[in-house]
Amino acid sequence: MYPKLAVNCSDINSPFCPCLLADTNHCISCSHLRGLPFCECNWSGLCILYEKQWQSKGSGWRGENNLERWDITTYISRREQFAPNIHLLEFEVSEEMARELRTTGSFVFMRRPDDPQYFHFPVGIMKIQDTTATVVIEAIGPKSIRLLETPDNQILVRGPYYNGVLGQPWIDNITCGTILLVAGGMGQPPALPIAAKLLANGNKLTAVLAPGKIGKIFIEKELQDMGVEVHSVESMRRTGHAQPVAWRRVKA
Amino acid sequence: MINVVIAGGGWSGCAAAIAAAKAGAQVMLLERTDMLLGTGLVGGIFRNNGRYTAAEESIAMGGGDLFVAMDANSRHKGVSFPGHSHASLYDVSSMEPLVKQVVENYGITVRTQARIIDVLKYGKVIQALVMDNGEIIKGDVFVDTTGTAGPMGNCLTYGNGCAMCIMRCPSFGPRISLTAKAQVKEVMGQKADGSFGAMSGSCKLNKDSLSPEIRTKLEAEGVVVIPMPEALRRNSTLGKKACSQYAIAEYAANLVLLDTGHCKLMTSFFPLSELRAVPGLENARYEDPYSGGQGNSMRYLGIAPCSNTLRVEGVDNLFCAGEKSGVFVGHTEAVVTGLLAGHNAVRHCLDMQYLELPRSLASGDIIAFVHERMGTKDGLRLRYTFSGSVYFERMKSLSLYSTDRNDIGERVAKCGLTDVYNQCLV
Repeated sequence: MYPKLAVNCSDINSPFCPCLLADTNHCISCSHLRGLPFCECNWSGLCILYEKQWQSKGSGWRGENNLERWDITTYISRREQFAPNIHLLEFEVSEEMARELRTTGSFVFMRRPDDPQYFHFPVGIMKIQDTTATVVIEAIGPKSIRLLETPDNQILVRGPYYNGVLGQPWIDNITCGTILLVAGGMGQPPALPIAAKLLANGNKLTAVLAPGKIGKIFIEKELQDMGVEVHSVESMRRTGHAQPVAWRRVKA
Repeated sequence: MINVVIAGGGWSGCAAAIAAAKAGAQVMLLERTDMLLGTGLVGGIFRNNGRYTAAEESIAMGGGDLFVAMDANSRHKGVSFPGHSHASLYDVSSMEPLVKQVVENYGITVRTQARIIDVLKYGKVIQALVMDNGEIIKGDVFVDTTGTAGPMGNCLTYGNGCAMCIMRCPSFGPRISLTAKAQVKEVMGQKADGSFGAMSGSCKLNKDSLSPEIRTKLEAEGVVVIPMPEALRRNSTLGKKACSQYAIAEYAANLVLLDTGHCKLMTSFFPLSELRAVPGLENARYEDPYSGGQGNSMRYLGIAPCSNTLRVEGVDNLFCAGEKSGVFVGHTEAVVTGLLAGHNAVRHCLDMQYLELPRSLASGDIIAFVHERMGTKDGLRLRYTFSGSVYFERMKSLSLYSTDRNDIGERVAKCGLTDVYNQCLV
């Protein structure tokens, strides 16, 4: 006998709620803003319909004054290449953006400032120190490769975005536990803020890291400096690296 | 052991809990906020008009505990005000701890700040309730006394917005309906103009904010009627009221104040600047709802379809009471239906025939009458109470209205229902 999984929109209680979904009657939380006649929400501590009402007061059309995500034009201030196509990038963001991105599981969209919007691609935040953001990018397709070759190191960062409807409350609410953190390959960057959050809540952390497809472990030292017991292994798959050929065959 | 779980600690939930405990069940009463009584925390008026008969019927049937508590905690008895006779006014400030004591004396587990968010149902049987902290509460039978008022989104959509009332939705989270969560389609009450819901019918003014003359008179007599200055008379707000027994012209021509601990103002809302134009109310301020100058809570937005035994249609083990069980107004009506629902919940677990109150009693007639009327379009636009409007007229015409305690006791005895709520069935 299990209850339905209680999920909350990650934008609730943030300045970005209510969003475009509320404008178009597709809010995933408020039944009224989904076109239903009655209140039936998974209560989050505030009434989204009310927020909508107040934000809409006096504006020409509903939602005109809603806060949208920030676009920040900034410069890559430091690069480090871990592997042939794995790049660590550091760049400055505004103070308010930095504050918002400290939430565990945050991510931004990045592209060259003069590229069209569809060049945006999502990048998880690895670290925020003051107003400096650190991310790791795998140059794997046209968008990411193009970003790394941006002239004058100029980039456009759009955010903040949070980690969807899953994950957040469980990580935030675990205290004084004993936790095994498993990360490999490009899963390493987002593991760092999770580790920091878990440690801040008095949890004891043991990490198992593997190089994964990218062939490099690069958060080992940072974790050790935070006081995490780290075990680096060659692979977490019994048969070694992922086998793209076999995968293609299955799909066909 | 039969486990009865009651959702909602208002007057009807408390009555259902007591009736189920008396019938021999293990009872858990769940309440979303930190106090019992729900909107009864700002109620106060009972024994007015036909409510006297109904209270005495419940007492004769062995369900008098809550009425005895109200009587013991009355500030005024035998008060008359426009359209209403022999009213008693309980003290809203001190009623809740007393009721909690009565409930707990029956061994009922009362859990406050316990908000339900969902039900687990297999087929037509509810297995358990899901709490907002993920806890699961199992039961054999459930009673939905979650009411029909609020929450904020409904008050905004159907009324003038959240008026910050005793429901305290922002702090304790919104009311939910067990019935709706069990996928039963609910019925909506309507205003006289056909729009949905109805606004609560009275406000509370802070007594210290009244002029000393009005305050002294109010505390001595229980009622003060102030003729409304001509400029402020507005008939149009009356149709919006939940309490149609107070939606009469005299309430547009006069401000009626009652002493229920606070000063009860018999109007849904009244703009503060206009209220302060009334002599003696120059410094008035609201106690409940805090934004009584602007609006009041919206009600009757989710009524469960149910039979006259108060079993919810479409679910085997769910009963309902209070506003949830019909377009009823008032805590006398809540207690009357609550007792029946709690009692029948126990009968359900024992495979006994459900109790249906006979139409020779006002308590039985009102339930049957309301359910008949709710099937009609016009019927949903009215509210039903022993104390006025269409139902009190009906009570008088059918000679169901009586203020003679012995006479009422004999009527109950004739139906074979004397002390029916006092019998342990288990």
